[in-house]
Amino acid sequence: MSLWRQFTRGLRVLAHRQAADQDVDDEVSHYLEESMAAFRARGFSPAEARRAARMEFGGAAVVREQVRDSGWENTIGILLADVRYAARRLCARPAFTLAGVLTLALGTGATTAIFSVIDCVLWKPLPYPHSERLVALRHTARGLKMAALNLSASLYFTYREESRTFEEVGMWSAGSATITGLAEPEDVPVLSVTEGFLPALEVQPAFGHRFTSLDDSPAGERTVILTDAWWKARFGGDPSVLGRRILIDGNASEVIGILPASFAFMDRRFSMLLPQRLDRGRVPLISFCCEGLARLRPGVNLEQASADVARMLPLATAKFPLNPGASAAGYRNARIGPNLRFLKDDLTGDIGNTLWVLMGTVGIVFLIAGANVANLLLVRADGRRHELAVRAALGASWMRSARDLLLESALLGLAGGALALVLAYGALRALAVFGPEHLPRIHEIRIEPIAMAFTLGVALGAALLFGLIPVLKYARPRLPEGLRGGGRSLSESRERHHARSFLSRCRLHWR
Amino acid sequence: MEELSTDLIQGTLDMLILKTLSLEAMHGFGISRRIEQVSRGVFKVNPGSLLTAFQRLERMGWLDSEWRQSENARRAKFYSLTRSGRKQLEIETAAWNRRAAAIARLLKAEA
Repeated sequence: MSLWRQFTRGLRVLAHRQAADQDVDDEVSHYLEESMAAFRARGFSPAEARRAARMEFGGAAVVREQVRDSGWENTIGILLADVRYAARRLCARPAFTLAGVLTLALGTGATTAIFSVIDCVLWKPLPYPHSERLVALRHTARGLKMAALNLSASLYFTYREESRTFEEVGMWSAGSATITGLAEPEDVPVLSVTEGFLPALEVQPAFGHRFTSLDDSPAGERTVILTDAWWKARFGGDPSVLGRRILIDGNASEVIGILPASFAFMDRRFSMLLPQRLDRGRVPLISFCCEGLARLRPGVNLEQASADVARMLPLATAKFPLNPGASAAGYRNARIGPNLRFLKDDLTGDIGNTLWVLMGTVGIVFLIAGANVANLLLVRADGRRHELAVRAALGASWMRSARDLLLESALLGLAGGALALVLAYGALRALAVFGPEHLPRIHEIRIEPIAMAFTLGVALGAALLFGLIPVLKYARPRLPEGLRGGGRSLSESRERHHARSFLSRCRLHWR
Repeated sequence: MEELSTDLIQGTLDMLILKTLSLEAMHGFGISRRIEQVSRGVFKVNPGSLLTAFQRLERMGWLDSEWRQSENARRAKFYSLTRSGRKQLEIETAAWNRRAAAIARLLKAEA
């Protein structure tokens, strides 16, 4: 309660500095008047009373300052004044400031861009509820020297019917279909999916409903679920399209749902979902056609799921007839085994290695930028050497000088960080437009709040860290020896030379 | 008489201000005069310390202030005790009495 009062009072004083000062002035002069009146009452002449009151009171200006300095806001006030002063100093040296800000911004901006890519590609979870439980159902066929075999319809049904570790199993494949009867005939990319596809992702259509078992069987009527983008492009977002039939590859199919606008799947471009309508009774054993995904039951890990798949693989041979002309021994010798991966890892693949190498490279660029900025700051502090020495001689504490130098660095860092965000934003936009086709999740890449915090933190941290070098050289507690030689010394002292040549040597080696 | 005046013991000024204001609302000079009179000139209040103390006590929520007409028709800032200020006065008085009694016992034991 009283802390709150402290805070609000302080804020009010900061906001109405003049009124607050006036209040103190009035109180002080009233005190003096009363004091004078009291002396008059004791028989002093007006002049004597004034003198006596003044004597008793002490310096009115001192008292005023004393009262004003009592609140916390006063410290803030001094800090703000220092910040303004530092900003003015930076503005007075536009070349230095521009060079420093640009160097920092380039170094930090590149780091931020790559950090954002890493964050969005590698770290950000897939856009489904509990996406950490989603796995891609891949297989190996060591007999055929295949490391990444996809999913067969027979195995899909086997997993659905026999699994102990999967909550839901779905199968999908990408294709295209021709839409007629609307305007111009149009060829659109489609995803053929089984009924378990959307339930496994835990995605509900924004309008309408998911595919039912009947929709997914040849016995049912043909149905389709549209993506939000295609629905808006073709039907202007009209919800009455639900229940309408559109001609897909010449077959009338009823629109039973519209996907949410945010729905995306494995970087695929598609305009609609079609049910696969597989006939369970006519699926042969060897029918590798599609990609599979499954949602693990809560608490199940990848090893347990793999063991479960290994258990189920032989079951399929008993459940499904062998293809005509194929041999049972041939299927056995293919030695099909599980190769489960988390869906996210399946999507990002081994891009992580590339990205981390990039991050390392950019980190070195960042260090070079930092060394440059440190050098700039050092030159700058060198120029102020005399001033700092004079200030120290006049009684400025080394803390005060250090704060001065660091504030300048901090402002530089903040400006650099802000510019870095702009640069990184531009770089990521360019990446999305011209970027490599094989970079996964490229359209999900953006500067998340964590990347912003990262940028400002890095820029500020770097500026302060490198700003410490001149502080340690010129503003550490010691005797003001700068006064001796001063700004006009004949040659650079050995010490001044050291730090700078060390930094430039660093840069040479980095290159 | 001036020679006798003693600087206020650190930390007692707040208590004396609260005590003085517990009777009625007063302005700064009035409080200072009252403390001097009641202590028979033993305590002389430094105006700077007094005005600073007002700021502090007000922020602690122990004092309220308001500008109004003083008895001799001058505009003055009057301070008054808040409810939590009254409570604080009780706390400080009790603590002071405890301490003073302890010191008195110590001095007696020395003698």
